[in-house]
Amino acid sequence: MNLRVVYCGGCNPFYDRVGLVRRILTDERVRELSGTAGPDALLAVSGCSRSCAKRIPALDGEVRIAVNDATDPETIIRTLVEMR
Amino acid sequence: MMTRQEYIDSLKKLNLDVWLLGEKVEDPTTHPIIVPSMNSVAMTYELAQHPEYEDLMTATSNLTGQKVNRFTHIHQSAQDLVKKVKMQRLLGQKTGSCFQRCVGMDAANAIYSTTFECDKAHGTNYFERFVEYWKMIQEKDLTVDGAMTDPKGDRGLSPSQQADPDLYLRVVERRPDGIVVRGSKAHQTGMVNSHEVVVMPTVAMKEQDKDYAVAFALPCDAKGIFMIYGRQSCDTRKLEHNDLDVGNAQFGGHEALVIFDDVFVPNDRIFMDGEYDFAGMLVERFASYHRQSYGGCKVGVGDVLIGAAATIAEYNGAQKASHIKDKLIEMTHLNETLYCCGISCSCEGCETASGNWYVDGLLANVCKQNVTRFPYEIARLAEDIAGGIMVTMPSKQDWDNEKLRPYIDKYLRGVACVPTENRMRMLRLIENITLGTAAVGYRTESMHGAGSPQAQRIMIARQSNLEHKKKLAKDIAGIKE
Repeated sequence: MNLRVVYCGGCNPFYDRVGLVRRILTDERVRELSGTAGPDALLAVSGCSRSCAKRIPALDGEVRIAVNDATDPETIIRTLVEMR
Repeated sequence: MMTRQEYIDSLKKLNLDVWLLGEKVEDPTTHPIIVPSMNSVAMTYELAQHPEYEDLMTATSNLTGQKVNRFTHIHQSAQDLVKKVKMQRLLGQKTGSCFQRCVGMDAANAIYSTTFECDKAHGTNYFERFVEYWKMIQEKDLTVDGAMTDPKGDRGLSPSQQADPDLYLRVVERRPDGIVVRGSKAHQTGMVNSHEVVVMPTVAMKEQDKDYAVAFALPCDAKGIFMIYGRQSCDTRKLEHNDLDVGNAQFGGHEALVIFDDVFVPNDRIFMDGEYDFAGMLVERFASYHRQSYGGCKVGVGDVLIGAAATIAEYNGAQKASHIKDKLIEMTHLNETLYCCGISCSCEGCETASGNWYVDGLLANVCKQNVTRFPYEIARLAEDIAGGIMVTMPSKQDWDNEKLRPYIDKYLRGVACVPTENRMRMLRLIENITLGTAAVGYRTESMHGAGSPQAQRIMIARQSNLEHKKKLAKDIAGIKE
């Protein structure tokens, strides 16, 4: 399983997008996902409700997870783990 | 979709309880004060039949797959939101007034997404009910009044704290087959020209207000509903049967005070009943859609007013004066700024959990905040260009008097090549929009419609992202905390 992260352009973010992604990627459970079986994931991170990152196309086989607010990183981490 | 005539015929079949100037109106579709406003709604049907307007006036329903009038459409993309604004500008241009059908469209889109999210939270089935109801609206191509504003009594008190509990519309009885509601909705745009009314709460609510957290739909002629037609400046000129002094003889708008005197609502037409925690969401979404709407409709009326000002400048022989040119530029700049806001909040819209598209809330509120100001300045400049004769001119009756007419014709002529009557007609149109019947829509409705200015400022404050702006400033100033 590979996790790819894409961002919106960041013109007017309502939370720390990069900080949220950092907390997800540094979580031990997420790091253990790398190279395991299961579909690849695309984390599309937008800074506001306009959700511009949702418009970035997923690659074949990628499952999109869209974020546009300061969601609890644990919610996203659990989603990724359950995809395995 | 209905034709213009089919729409008018369908109104005649309703048994509306309408009161105007203290008397019951036997047939609203023929009353001279009401007919111009009916004509404005009829234009939403007429233009939808024309291939040259089809792209804006119609859409493909996500509910039925059928072609529908865009005024009944559930928005499916940002492009749909943009086309909505463009359609409203077109209708404003064609009628020079409020065409009334926007509130139902905005209510539908707000209820669609709110009921979806309410059902997820509460296990209710309002979304399914609403979809079935709205399919009927689309298939029959009905006009729907969106009723939100309660009289509100003491503004310092919540609905349940009012001395008179009916000052916000509420549920007074719950039965196995439905509810009974009592209250009133004020400023109801287009209610007399509508087939159906969709009622929504007017403010965010707490648990003690749950009987006021109610949304539903009814036919406008349901037992217990009656309407008291709102007065407009210069309205009785329409009773004089002259097409000159009214300024806009064909079109107009209207509002009414609507009373719900213990009205029964069957279960399949209830879309909120006590879910007070979703009242705020419904109010906010409706308000944002309607604040977007003003970035289209007022711009269309503004186009007419700018055209009238430019024409009267020519009739006055003043069109080459640099200050006149500059005033027309300023009017255009202000009008197009409003349009920019309407388009931008549409382009920056997003998909809701239900799948329909919602405007950008911050930009929609900025749009409406500008609408509370710019039409006033555009109107002021139009009056400046028109000159004082706009409000001191003799009447049509004087014009028709064979003794007086030669003198009026002689002394009210502007440039020699333009008939005096044409000059009088253009001046009356400017009067109509700036301080006559259409000023209800162009001025005071611009101020208070879709929420008074302070309501937008609260929403702008909530969405201003000030912390981000402060961080930007601190980064550039080299401040590390």
